[in-house]
Amino acid sequence: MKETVSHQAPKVIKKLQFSLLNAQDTVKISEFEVTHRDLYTPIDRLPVKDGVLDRRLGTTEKGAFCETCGQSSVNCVGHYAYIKLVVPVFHIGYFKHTIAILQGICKTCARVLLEEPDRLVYCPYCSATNGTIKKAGALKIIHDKFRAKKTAEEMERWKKTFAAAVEAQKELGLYLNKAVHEDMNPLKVLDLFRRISDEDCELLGLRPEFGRPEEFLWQYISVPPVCIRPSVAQDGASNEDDLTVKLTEIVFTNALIKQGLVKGAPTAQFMEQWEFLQLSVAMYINSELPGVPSQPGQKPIRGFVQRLKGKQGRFRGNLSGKRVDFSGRTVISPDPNLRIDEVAVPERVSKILTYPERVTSHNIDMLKQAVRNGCDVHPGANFVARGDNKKFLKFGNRAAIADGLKYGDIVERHIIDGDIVLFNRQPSLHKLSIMCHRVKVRPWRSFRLNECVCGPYNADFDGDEMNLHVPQTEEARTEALELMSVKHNLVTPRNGEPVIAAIQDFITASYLLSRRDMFFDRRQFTQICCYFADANLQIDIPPPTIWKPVRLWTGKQIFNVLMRPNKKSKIFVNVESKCNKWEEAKAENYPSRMKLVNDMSPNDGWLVIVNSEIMCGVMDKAIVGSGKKKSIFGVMLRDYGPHEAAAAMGRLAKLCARYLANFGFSLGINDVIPGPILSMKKDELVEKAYADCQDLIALAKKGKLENKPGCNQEQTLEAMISSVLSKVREAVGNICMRELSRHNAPLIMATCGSKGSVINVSQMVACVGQQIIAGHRVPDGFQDRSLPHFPKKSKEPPSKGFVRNSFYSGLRATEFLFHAISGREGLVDTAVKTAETGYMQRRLMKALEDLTTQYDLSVRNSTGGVVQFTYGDDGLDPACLEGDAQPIEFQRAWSHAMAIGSRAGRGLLPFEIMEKVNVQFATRRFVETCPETYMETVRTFIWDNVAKKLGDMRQSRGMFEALEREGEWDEDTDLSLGASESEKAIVDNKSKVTESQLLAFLNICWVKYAKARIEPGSTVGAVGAQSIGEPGTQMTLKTFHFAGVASMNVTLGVPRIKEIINAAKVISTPIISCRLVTCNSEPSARIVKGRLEKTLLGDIASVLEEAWAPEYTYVGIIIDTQAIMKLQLELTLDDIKWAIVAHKKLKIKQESITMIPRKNRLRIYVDGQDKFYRLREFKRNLASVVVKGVPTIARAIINIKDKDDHRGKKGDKELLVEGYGLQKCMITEGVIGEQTTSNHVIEVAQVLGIEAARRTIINEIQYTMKSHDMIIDPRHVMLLGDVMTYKGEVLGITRFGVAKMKDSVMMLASFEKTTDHLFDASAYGKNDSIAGVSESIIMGNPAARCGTSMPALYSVAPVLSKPRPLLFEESI
Amino acid sequence: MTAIASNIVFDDIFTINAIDKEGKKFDRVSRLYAHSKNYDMDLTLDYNVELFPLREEQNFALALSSSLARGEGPANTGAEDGDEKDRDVWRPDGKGRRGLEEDYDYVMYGKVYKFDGGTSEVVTAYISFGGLLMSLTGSFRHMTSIVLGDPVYLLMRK
Repeated sequence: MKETVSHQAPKVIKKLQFSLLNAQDTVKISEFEVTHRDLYTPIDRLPVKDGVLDRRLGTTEKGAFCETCGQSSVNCVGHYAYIKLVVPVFHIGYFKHTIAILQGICKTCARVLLEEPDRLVYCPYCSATNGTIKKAGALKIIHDKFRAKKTAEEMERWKKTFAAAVEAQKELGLYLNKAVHEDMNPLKVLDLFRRISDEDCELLGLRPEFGRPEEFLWQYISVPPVCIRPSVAQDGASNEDDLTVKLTEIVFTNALIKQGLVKGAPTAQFMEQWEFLQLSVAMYINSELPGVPSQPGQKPIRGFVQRLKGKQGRFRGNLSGKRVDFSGRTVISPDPNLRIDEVAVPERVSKILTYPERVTSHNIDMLKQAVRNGCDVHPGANFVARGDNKKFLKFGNRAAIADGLKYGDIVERHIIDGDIVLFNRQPSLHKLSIMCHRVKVRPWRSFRLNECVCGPYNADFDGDEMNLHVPQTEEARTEALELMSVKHNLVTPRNGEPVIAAIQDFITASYLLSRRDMFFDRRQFTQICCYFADANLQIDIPPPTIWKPVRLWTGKQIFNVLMRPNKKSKIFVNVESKCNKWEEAKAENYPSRMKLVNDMSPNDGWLVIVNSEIMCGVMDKAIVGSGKKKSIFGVMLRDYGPHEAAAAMGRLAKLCARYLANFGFSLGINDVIPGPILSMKKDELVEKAYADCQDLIALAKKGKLENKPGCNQEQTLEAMISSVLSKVREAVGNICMRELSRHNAPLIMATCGSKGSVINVSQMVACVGQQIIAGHRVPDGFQDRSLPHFPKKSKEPPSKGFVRNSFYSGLRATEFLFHAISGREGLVDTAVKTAETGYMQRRLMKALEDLTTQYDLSVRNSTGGVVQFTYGDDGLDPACLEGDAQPIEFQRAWSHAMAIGSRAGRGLLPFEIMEKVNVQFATRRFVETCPETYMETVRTFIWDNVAKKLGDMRQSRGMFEALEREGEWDEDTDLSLGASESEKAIVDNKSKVTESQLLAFLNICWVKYAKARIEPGSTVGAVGAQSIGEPGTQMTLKTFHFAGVASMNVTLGVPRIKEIINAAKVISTPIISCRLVTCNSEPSARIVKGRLEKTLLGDIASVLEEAWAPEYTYVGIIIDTQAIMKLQLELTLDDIKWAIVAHKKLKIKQESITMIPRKNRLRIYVDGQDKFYRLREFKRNLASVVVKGVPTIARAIINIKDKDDHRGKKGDKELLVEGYGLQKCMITEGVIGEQTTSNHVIEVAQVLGIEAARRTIINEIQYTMKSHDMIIDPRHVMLLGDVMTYKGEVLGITRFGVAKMKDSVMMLASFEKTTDHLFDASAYGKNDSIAGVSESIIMGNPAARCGTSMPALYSVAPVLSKPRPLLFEESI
Repeated sequence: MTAIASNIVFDDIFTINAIDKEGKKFDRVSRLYAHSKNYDMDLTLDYNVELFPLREEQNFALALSSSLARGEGPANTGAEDGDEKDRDVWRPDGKGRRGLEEDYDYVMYGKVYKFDGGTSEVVTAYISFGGLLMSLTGSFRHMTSIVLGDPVYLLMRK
């Protein structure tokens, strides 16, 4: 019978309400009261009745049964009990809240202290005195009642009340002052809290229906079931959980107090026990109490807080991330014979991992065979399930089960070839770290993957292990295949560049094969063609390149066949691009009338492919490797889809692996021996550089070196020596490239980009070069020298870490040490960096995880808050963009269209072209898909590059240019004006466009745009966070030089990204760049510089003198007017006087200063008692008085721009200001305020507002990334900028910022400060609507509102009810 | 040339000016620079030095042809379609339309893939023979039969 739709939909948690556990509920959920402190009975060692291990709480022992529900330890969920405390104690989690409430209420009548803006001293209701509430000790609160000055009298009165008592007992008087501080013990607090009215609770921010303040205090302690605190039995004795121990302690102390109260024990003893009880209860919750010293040697106990907290805690360790079934992990190894979307799974793994397949008419035979094979034979099965009845196939009659297999049964069969699995390598820094592969079951014991897929996983085969997961439902498999498949992730969403591509040896082999002088005869050619194909592929051999004297094919033709194996194949690759190393052809070598094109590169460094035929160029890193959009795989992917690109990549992998295995490619000692010319030239270069350095040092000694801007002599010398030495290494590298043999293996690898660089080659062969430590040459480790091998104060290259030897010739002892120092720095750097970037990545992820695109293409967070109205301002997906942050690369698309469209037929006239374009753009598909702006750019492109060009060409050959249609033309009009055949031919050769070509181009334009639109439900937040975080791991912690000015460094790399993301108030290199009004004159720039840069009195005073006489004493200042002139400061004596007066610390009155303008003197007269000391003080401090400029500015430097941008031309002068004070800079005369920017996000936000801050964040991140050669799509950075600013203030991606961005308690708890958020939530009765990603994962729901779980039933928008009136509003 | 109505689209005698001006970059391939007196054409050509060694100052005859079939132009075979099909067909057994190569020492097969832009009288055509590049510069009037995108045979003899 057909199954009806179930009415019992699976239950889903939709909302969490946090509240306080009150005493009634504690008792209600409990089975009994715990009164006994003992755990076990002495003789038979059974749990004691009414003890904390009572059997009624459930059990953890195997044979025993729960006495409440009668079930075994496996099935019993556990039951609660309670402890009734004789006296209340503070709850450590709510301690802060308790204090906060006490501070807000009257300590006598428990009403909220309101009315006056500042803290009240007298209660407006009962007029009782209220002082401050303070924390004293870990769990003690005191009320300093008479703290306010105006209550002094009152205090005296109060003290007097003790007069009689003091009379009777003299010692009491000593303690009287202590008693002023009223001890707010839990009893008192409880009493106060009970009296707070519900209205007042709301005023205090609480929600009385979910928790009243008195519930902040412990009165009843709930005893949790034993299953969460299992005891571990160890030969006779048992080991108890920390919680159990703490509970017994509480029970015991509680009993003691009770006894004491009954018997009437002394107060001191009672208080001591009470305190101990408090402490025990606090430790039970949180064992890491500040203020409670932990006993050394004793391991700290694990309280509830410790169980939740931290990476291994419940939230991050068990709720956000869980251990799973159907997964495996082993070592990985390479296999180029696999397709790129395959993973080889060892047979023994495949027999353990299973997939539950339902029996249908299509698969019953296969599954029957699987069942017959059982657990131990490979394509077998482990279980058969029919309904709830599950059979294990290891034992029993498998044949019978197989015969009885029916449709609808579920067979847990072994995974077989073609099954879908997820493959993952940690650290999973971006979404490409976990991808979906097809299984290929193979012998042996390692997972194997095609080397092309190493890139996204960042995997190598030096012992790396990877994880494999088997999705268990059809839905999961489909989703994995469609979204996570390797084929669908050939490009990184960071910027749309391919990440899965040929690497290392594949590149080397491609390069070797495709070089210009590779020729094969027919036997060799067909053999190589067979390398890349399976036997089922038809290969058509192209005609040979050389027909006579012998038939020969070239290496490039192999790649033609690889891209398009037979005539039926429709793969026409068209691309033109620069190879890894492109040598430009020199014009003087070619006929002067020939216009040289890039193709003529002497080293074959320019690639042109027309219709899958390589015209020129070698297949190197830039062409078959990753990271270039114009590589052949990138082009194939965009034009013919991922399947074709993946297939071609598979063919390339096979070809290269097999070809190189036969060809042989290895590196030996011969490869690193320099030839005589090379050694000689290198020695010459090094000697020359040494001499140059000597000259520089000599110059510097004489002080004749001209200082670089903003540098002193020493820094200038360092900079110049460094540049000389770095030039040496470069020059030596170039010599290596020139002098080494063409067959030198390292050289081949460096040229084709497969591994290593020119530097690596020259380090092995010629010269290791300068060792850099912390951005400088080797520093002095000894007195005035780096090592005792050198003379003191030596600045020569060898003593400062220049290594002139090569790894082949061997390093000298000192060189070796320098190299080792530098090497270790690198290692330390990496270690520090990984930890830092990991944390940064986590924070970014947490802040952006719930941002998704909605159906209106807006970006919203899980609570529906809008972050962007259109994703990235244009709604395009960065992963699908072909051009530079654009959906299409016009030039290539045009040449592609020209090549695939038919050239036969009549060429269009220019006006016809534009007409056809407009007709196409008016069609429905264009109008509905593409925005007007996009169509306009296409139109402009066609006009500029096609129609206009054709018109010009026609005109130059004496034809009508025909750019516009004119009325009198008809079909017979000869628009060529009778041009000759040869002229027509050349016009056609140069610029013919047929209708088919034009339509092909327009179609490409449409398809590219349609594909590039972002899908609703895309998790743009997560992808953006990964796109910024993942490249961070590859950055080095270096500081780079600031453009043009040697001394002005800006922090870059991870530290800079961290500053921006944290929205740090203090950054290490704040720089304001000011555009000047007169940007071409140096003197005026200097004047502005003088206005900004702070000038101290000490800088312009030639003399600071003390003058003593019987009649007067003064400090005399003689101003050096010459210096003021030279510095071009606008400073008068009067200005200086007022600057001195304005100085806060000195407190000099203006009357005491006299000016003598003629002599440029100022005198500050001192008089009075301590005039000697005052005088000395003045003399000490006067030099540091700021007389001119902005005090927060450290210095300003005049910079000459090295390139054009929107803020000026190349060669313009601008002012770079180091320090804070953007506002001051903007309003300074001579500076164009509108074009003054700062790199300090917070300052920009303060001065210019939130939009400017957003722009600064975006620009700064992009600038930092660019200077590390990392390209990130602007959309990702924009999203980050928006997240940091959409609340109206700049929020850092830190625990404070994130807490302001997000509402969800669970999300915040899983981020940082887990328990603080949880206690807060319950104290204030918060709720969590489980809308975000983290919360959904924690609750086990599908991730809400994103991806495939976004489609839902459309319903009418809910009517929002009026806000609930607050209780206290009635009383107003 | 069009008057002859043959498959030959260009024919001239060149004198080599230089070989490998920019240094020898490949073992088996060199680039020659040559000039012709007849049509005043400039030529650069990558060629296989092992199969066809050349020296500077040497003269050689160079022809470009759209087919190896002798004599008959595509126009007067009558079967336009058949010819079109035959063009791309090559037969490894050595049969098929041929004959022209018998008169030459060195024959290559490739494709005209680029004409330089610009509106001047002098035009450069770029032809690639499986990665071996040839550039032919001269007046466009001598290159009318060279059509962009067409396959072409290069025939050379000393």
